[in-house]
Amino acid sequence: MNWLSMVANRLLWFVPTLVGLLAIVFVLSRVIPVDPAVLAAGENASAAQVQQVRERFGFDKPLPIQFANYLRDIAQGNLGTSLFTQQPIVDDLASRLPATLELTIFAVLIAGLVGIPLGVLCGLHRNSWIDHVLRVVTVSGLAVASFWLAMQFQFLFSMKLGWLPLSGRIEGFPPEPVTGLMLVDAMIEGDREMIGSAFRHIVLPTLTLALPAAATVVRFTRNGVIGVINSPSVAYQTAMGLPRRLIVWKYVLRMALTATVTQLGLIFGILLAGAVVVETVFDWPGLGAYAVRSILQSDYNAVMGFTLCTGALFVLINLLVDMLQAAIDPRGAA
Amino acid sequence: MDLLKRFAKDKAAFIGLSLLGLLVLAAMFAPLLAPFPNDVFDFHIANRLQPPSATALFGTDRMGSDIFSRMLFGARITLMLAGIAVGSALVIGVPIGLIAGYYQNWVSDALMRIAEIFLAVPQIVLAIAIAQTLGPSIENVILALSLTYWPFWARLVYAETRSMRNEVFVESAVALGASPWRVIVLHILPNIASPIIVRTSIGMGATILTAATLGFLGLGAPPPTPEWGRMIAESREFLPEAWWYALAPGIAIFLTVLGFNLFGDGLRDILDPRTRRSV
Amino acid sequence: MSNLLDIQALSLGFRTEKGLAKVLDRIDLSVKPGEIVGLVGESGCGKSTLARAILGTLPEGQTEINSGHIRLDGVDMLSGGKAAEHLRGRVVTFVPQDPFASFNPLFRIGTQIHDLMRFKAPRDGKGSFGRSRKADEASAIAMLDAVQLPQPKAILDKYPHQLSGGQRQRVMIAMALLPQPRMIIADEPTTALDVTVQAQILGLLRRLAVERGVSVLFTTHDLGAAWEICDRVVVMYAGQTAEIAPREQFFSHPRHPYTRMLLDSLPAPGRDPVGIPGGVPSPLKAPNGCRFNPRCPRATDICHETRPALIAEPNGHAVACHHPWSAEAEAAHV
Repeated sequence: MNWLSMVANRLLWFVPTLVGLLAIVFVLSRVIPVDPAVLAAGENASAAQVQQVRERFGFDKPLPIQFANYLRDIAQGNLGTSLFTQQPIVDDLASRLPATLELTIFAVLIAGLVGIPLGVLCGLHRNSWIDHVLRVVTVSGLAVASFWLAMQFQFLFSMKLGWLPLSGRIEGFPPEPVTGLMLVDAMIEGDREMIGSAFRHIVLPTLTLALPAAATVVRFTRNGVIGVINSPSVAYQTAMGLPRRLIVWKYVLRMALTATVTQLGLIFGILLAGAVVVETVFDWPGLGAYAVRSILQSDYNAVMGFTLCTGALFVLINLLVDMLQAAIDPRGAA
Repeated sequence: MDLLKRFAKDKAAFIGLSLLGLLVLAAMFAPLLAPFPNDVFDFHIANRLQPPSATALFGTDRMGSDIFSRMLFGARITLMLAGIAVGSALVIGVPIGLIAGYYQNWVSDALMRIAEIFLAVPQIVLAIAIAQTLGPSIENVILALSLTYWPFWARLVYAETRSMRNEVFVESAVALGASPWRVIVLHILPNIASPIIVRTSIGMGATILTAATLGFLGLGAPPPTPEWGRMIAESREFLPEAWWYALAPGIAIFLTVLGFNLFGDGLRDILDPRTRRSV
Repeated sequence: MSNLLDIQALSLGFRTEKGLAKVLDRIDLSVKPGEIVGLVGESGCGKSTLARAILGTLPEGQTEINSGHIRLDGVDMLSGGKAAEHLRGRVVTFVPQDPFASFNPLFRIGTQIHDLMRFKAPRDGKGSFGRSRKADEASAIAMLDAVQLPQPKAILDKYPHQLSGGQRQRVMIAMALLPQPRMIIADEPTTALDVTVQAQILGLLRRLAVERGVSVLFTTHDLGAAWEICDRVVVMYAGQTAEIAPREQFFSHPRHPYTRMLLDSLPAPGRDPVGIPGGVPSPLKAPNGCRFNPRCPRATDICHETRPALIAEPNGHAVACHHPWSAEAEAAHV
């Protein structure tokens, strides 16, 4: 009951949130001093050509009408055409989404598989040497600029040592897209050289992206474990003489993991923000690199399409996280 | 006094404070400390891309300018930029959060919805869009950062105010006829100051990272400005030969953000008893 | 009859930022088999610390034990060895103050009971495989029935937050009885409950304890509660034992000035309750001699210099005071 109404409430706000988001970006894109019609028509276009473009894209109409038209187009699944790739933006986004998803999924996996056990370890052995070492590592991981770290990785592992490629997703012909995740597709195809190449390409971007997320997971898990260890429920179980291993590995762990799950939305936020930078440095053909390029080229429709896409993704992820949390925490979404 | 003593005992907080002290000193006395203070604008093409030496501690850049000198002046830009951006975000966000949290009517719902819309996209994405829209300059970076950062404060203060609203001392002040203005300023604000102060320090670190990212993407101040993110971006085309080029500004960003984060953690331990670590 | 629980001259303190807090100062206390003892005192007098000392849940690394011993069934409970560990949850069990926080919120009641029984239920000498899960469940249901919970089988499938406060505390009592202990430590078991439920829970605890011959050490700040269920009352003040007396004696002929003032502070027909001026001293700066001396109307120089010894009379009434009220003096107001 509780769960359903929570989900319904979130879904109800989904559309207004996206419209609001679009309004913000729309207002921004029309405050710009540069005339988008001039930009679209090209530098050498005549005044008549510019006027033609202006009418074709509806840039001559009042802003509220332009916005209404834009919303109507979106409702029909039409995000417009990119001024630069000359492709429908929906297609552009769709072709780039898998690359970003691939990066994000691997980064989340690393952050979880490395961060949670380390966080539990630190929480259990508070103020031990491992706790101190990891505190230094996590604090540093959250303080380092990811574009700088990415460049240092490139310098060391690609340029100096030559172990890993500088940028891109793969060498030679890519595998047949099945899932869109190149490493997975390469595995499906079963070509060892392809798998190796896809793997070598994804290592550095994933590590750069995962570092701040993993640091966040370690800190939350650690603090979660410490909070539970000092809770009355653990004091009760200790007083009743239950074995330490049962208390820790069953009860404390479950509580700490539940607390970490509530932070998943935040972690995805870190990853999506990080993807913008990491993709740009590693020339990874995902949404983030596309957004930066579109912004730098004043490709407004593309920027709005990206913002909408990211916003929708983020809102959706948060909804999923809330549902997951409600499912694993019997107290429900309070 | 007691607070200061506790702070001195916390090694991490002490390191953070020291780093911030160094940063402020570097920013204040940059013209005195820099061996080549004129290198912020001057260039000596003959000396370009020299590796670190006794004269150029961290090497020279593509214009032949001393990277160490430019790094010191970069501290000024970073501090000013993050300080004004976070300050403006606070000035916008805190009153909105206070008012929305205090009144809890349709206006506060609307305000918080707007804040949530901003928070639905990673800050950097909106900041990039705004900064690009307005054109590359320091003022516009500051504007972009404040415009995308206030919703964070609005939401934080809103949540804190709402929980304060139900505290007995607030309810009794209201019942005794204190004006809303008086209740908010005298009763609520002092009691939610701790989390705001703690997050301000950590928020400075985050804002410096975001600002550097904007600079790196070419959205910050135009070229001769010694902005750390831009310096790193410039260095890219000279890798792997000029390995020192990005080193100094990168480490400067790292130590600055580290300083703010450690300082914030230390403040949290002292000011926020809910999360205080026991001995 | 020898004592089941025997505490002698126990002094312990906590290391804090401001120095050593001397929370317990040479406490003497004993509980005989089958006896229900009430440990009465204001908040902060050290009664919960005493309970935690017996149960082994004092904060690790912060506690300093200066003198004395706690023996339960002849076993030293302070050494933290295997023998003490073995007794907890078997010979001595625990009913906590806050039955909500003391359950783990993420696990069903049945799971938490079952985990306790797996390790602590009596095993008829057949080893841990002597009883099946089914048999455990049957005895758990029988016990939930004994604490007068309706539909005990359904309770096992519920989560803690789905029960009322009174129900949760009944479950806690059932869990305290399931291992068939010889002693239950109940730390303010009714403080968190509604007044109407308090009396029921106390009555239940007393009845089940008497039926099964289980000793109870019951801490409370509520003299009425002590009257309801105790055979003997121990009064603590600021970490010192002030007076020990059988229930009737305690209420009719209190001898320690503190006890008298405590009883006078109760509302009674025909007179106004009288408060005790002053407050409990901080364990960081406890007064010398008798710790009650700053608030005591009968205090003289000796009270500031020498700590009064606990002197027992043949009838079991003991008092630690240089100037006690005489046993023959007029009865207290109650």
